[in-house]
Amino acid sequence: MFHSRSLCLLLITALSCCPLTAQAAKFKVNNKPPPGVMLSIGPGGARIGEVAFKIKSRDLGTGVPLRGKPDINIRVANRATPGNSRVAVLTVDSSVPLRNGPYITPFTSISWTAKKGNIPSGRYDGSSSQFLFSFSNSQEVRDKHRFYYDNTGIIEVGTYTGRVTYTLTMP
Amino acid sequence: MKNPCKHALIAAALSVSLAAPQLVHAESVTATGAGTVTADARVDFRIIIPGVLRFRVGAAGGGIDLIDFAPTAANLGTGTDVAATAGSGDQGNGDVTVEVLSNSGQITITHDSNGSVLSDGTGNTIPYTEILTASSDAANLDAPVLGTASSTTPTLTGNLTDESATWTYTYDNTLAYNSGIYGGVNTNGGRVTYTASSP
Repeated sequence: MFHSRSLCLLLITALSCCPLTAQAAKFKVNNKPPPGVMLSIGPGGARIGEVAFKIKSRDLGTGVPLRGKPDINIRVANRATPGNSRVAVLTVDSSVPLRNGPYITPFTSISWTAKKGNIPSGRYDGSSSQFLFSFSNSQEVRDKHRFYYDNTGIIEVGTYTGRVTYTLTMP
Repeated sequence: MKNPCKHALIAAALSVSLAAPQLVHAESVTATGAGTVTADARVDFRIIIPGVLRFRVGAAGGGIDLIDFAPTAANLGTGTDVAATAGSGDQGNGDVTVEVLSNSGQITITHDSNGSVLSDGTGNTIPYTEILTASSDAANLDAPVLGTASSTTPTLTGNLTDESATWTYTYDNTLAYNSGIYGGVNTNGGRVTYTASSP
């Protein structure tokens, strides 16, 4: 009996000597987020948007521009600290022409119109770094582009595919 | 027990992600960093070009031209070529516009007058070999010889054909045929049909 009471006291004493730890969360508001850019084109996520031109025989080569579908959403944003203002530049690489087996057609035959005009209307120039648009921080700019194939002449029958790469850079 | 290896890996990953410049490939991306930050996004294009063959002889649209010859009694059968009348063909004087446009390989132009004749309805005939055709651009868009089995092949560039020319019809006038009106508007063998075909 005495032995049991002594053990109990010893246990209580031992527990009282150990500090109890409390579960807690720490929150920190970072008022100096790192500079960054955001670029979204097409459906967003990891999917690559595709614009298709499906041309009827009677329309081919008439010189009347043909619309591609769908229209493409473009969203760009940049962020930098107010004390270190920076400018982001949007460029596009259209230097690799569309290909259909041995036949090619340049991206210069494709132009676009901007629905809002925030990211201007234009035409691919076939270069590797065509300037499109620039803007200072911190902004988010949205637009929707509708693409047209010039359709000024005939080219070999078949399906031509190609890819352009937009780059948003903030030095 | 702490895993020093795991901590080392996390530290390495963080140091890579913060290294400048940043370069990210995706279609909706955010890139951050102390130095130059760059984000790439791509768009694919697809142009579906159908096979096409357009062929025109004479007036545009659905009109069919009439080529009229009216040799005089004085020059009939002399062998001197006779030009068509002023109102013949879409350009007049026996001249017709010819265009061929295709993206489907080598085009061949044929006609259906091989061995055919123009008749006067009473048993007299004139063979189509009496009607000559000259092309303003024989090298690239020649005219087949009427009344024979000839055909022509317009110039092909790559897999494309895009040629135009003027074909001029004349009457060869080699013999003094019986008087009368031979052929006509789709009567008495007076019509020739040209056909352009791709492989």
